Amino acid sequence: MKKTTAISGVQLICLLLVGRLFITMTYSPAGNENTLITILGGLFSNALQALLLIFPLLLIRKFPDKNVVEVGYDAAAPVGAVLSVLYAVFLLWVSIKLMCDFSEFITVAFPIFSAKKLIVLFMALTALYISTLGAEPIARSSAVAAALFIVMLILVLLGTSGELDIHNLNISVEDPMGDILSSAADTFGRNAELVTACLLLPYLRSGYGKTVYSYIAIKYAAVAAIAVLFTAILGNFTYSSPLPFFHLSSYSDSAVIARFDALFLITWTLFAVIKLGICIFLAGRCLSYISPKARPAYANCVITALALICVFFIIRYSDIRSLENSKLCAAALILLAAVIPALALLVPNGKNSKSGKKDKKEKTLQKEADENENS
Amino acid sequence: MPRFPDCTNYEDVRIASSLEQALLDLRSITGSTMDLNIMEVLVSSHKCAVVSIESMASTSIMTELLFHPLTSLSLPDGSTAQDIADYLTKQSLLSAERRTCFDYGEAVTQLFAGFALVLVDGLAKGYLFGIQGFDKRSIDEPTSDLNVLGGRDGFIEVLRTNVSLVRRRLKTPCLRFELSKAGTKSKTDVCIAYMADRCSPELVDSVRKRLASIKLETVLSSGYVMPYLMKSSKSLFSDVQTTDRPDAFAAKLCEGKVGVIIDGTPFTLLVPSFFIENFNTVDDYAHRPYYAAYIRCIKYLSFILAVMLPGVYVALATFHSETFSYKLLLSLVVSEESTPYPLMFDVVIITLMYEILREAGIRLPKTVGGAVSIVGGLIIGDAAVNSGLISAPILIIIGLTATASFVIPNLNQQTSILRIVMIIAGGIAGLYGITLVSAAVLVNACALSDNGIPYTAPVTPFFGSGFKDIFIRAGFKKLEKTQTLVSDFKASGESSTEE
Repeated sequence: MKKTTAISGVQLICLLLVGRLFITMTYSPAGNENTLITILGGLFSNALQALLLIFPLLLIRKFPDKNVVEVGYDAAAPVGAVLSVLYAVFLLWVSIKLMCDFSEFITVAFPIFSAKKLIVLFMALTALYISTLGAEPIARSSAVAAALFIVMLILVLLGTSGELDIHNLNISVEDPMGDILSSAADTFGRNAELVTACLLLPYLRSGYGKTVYSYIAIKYAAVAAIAVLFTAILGNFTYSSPLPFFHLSSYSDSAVIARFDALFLITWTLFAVIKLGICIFLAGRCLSYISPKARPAYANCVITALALICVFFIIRYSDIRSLENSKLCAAALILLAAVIPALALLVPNGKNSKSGKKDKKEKTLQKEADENENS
Repeated sequence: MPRFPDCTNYEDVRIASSLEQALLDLRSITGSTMDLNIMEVLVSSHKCAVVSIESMASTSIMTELLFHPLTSLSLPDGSTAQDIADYLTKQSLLSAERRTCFDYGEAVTQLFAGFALVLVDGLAKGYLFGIQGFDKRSIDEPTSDLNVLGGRDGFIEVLRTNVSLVRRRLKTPCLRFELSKAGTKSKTDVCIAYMADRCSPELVDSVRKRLASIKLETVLSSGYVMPYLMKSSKSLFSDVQTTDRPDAFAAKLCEGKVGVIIDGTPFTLLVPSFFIENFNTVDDYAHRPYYAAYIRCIKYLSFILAVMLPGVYVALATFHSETFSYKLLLSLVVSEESTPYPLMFDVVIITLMYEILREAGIRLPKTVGGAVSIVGGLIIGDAAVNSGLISAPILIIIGLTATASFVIPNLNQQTSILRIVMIIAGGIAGLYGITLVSAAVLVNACALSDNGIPYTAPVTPFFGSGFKDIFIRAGFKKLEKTQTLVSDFKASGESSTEE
């Protein structure tokens, strides 16, 4: 079953990077006040991610053009249905978390005197729209967003280079191993892109391993560089401000760049909507496997509606921080990005399910192809 | 008794061998229309008829090429009708374009295209001679996409003249033209143009199929054909480019595109097209590269201003006033305090007023077009500010936006719609709204592709070779070394050179 759309390696890297940079911009600094620990923790976390991704890579080599859910359907229809629900729920959770972060951001970083729920609704509808256009356009857009971020970061860093002081970097360590492992665990739980990568691998034409490991390396380098630069420029303010990323430009010597903080708002929102769009797209695809007769766009609508209901409920009745659970997230990541793909490797290649689900799936993909063609 | 009273079902009917019946049939099909011209003549004692459509065929050419040779023809006694046919087809060169038809469909179509039909009694076929002579506009300067240093000739409404304008610029056997018909009633000539050595056969075939799928009754302008060539009707942008410049058309064919020339309109179509091409003009290649690069940057800036300036102004002034400097903020507050309506409402009203004036300026005769700008710009604008209905900064913003939109006329439709959307988004959700709409537009543009060639190439997907002619324009010495074809920008496929 050939996917009708194709994403290049660079586009997939950008797409995953955009999702990860959104987290970096939202949660910078990551947990502790020691830059060295942050960097080493990140190294451990990324090494673990690289190890886990071996299983999805083996799976895609065994079943080219199939994601883990489709392999599940090949094994048995109920297995496929369970996997569909599991992945859809995880992506739904990521979407809810993202929208909650967004609503928090518009209250804290750049508050505006407008209905918060309206803006969240506006964002969800935009993400729903872009999710209906397919993975390929979102991936292409992410390349533009990543380029925009790099240009803006360079401009701001040039403007604030006069404030750069390496003495701001706190590298004194008391319990190195414990702190590093704690930091690694914190960082690892924020990599929902591993699951996204698992599901998007079939959209790649070739170079699976090269793409995935390039992403891991680039992501680590980017996150570490941002952590060092920010701490070096902002000093202790990095740890006392809820969203230090957006105060960076105000440290600039240049009067023009000092007003660039709004530009980070633009990239942050762009990253958010791209990440949300791809999550809804993938969750919708997972759901559409369960009900092959329904149009994939309807599944996207269902996911968006569910996410919105949950977000509005959390905003109204609960605390957004209640969604923060790095251990649970890490466990979910290990299960979805490594354990299930590893188990899926046991499925013999070319086996068809007894219930004729394969035909239904083919119809779904054909429908997906037709829809992409029409859109 | 007329055989075709409702002028249908005649297309495949063979021409009657009896001249009398054939003429009766032609009169029946055309309803003895006023411009049907039938000249019956005896040629060497055989009854013949020359049929033409008045004003589509040239009387002088018909006299010189048909009447004179036919009337002076003398065949020996005992000659048959077939001898006259042989004379017409084998022994004479009455016209550069000649063909034999066997059915009324072909005969009638060609008659209305300016051919003369010669019928000979006893032969169940007709002979068509191209003697077109209808009036046409002379070749003039293009009305759109004006330039300073490029050619001054533009396409006109006549297909064959347009073909000659392209051929004059590309004297190579690789340039191919394929004629077909579109429109069940209008039977408009539509011509596909491409360079055989530059254009992928799949693309040509795809265009052929898309043109063949036109089931319209009439095709009167390029707008009728464009939706059939577009891959996605839901996209905000169009992956079909229009031009009325033969030099631009020829240049695009050399890039491997397929052109479509439609009879009756000076605007030709080119597929596929790229977003960046909206910012390129023929003049870019006449100026020095550094100046061309500067002008291109101005155009990109103009596009951003034309789409976003009013929306961003509304967003910043309403929700993010901290981004203004203190002095500017004070002057804005003073201006806005005197106006009765919310800022977003003001800007929407002024933008709509501008659109009304612009539309009026386009549709009105040129002689009174200037009056619109005086009434709109000076009287209404000045009075609105003085009466306190709107603030002066809004007028400046809209004026700047309007001027910026003139720089990129190809994207006028998109900028007009997006501007309003941006104002509303900015007024409701501030910079968040602007960014969300921008994201939707970005993904919408990225979703557009034709035969695997993305509309947003070579920016995304990124192709380094294409970057020499986007923001900057490399010199011709560099460009000639890396000739880039549209097929090089294919996003997916085995031979892709992407990234």
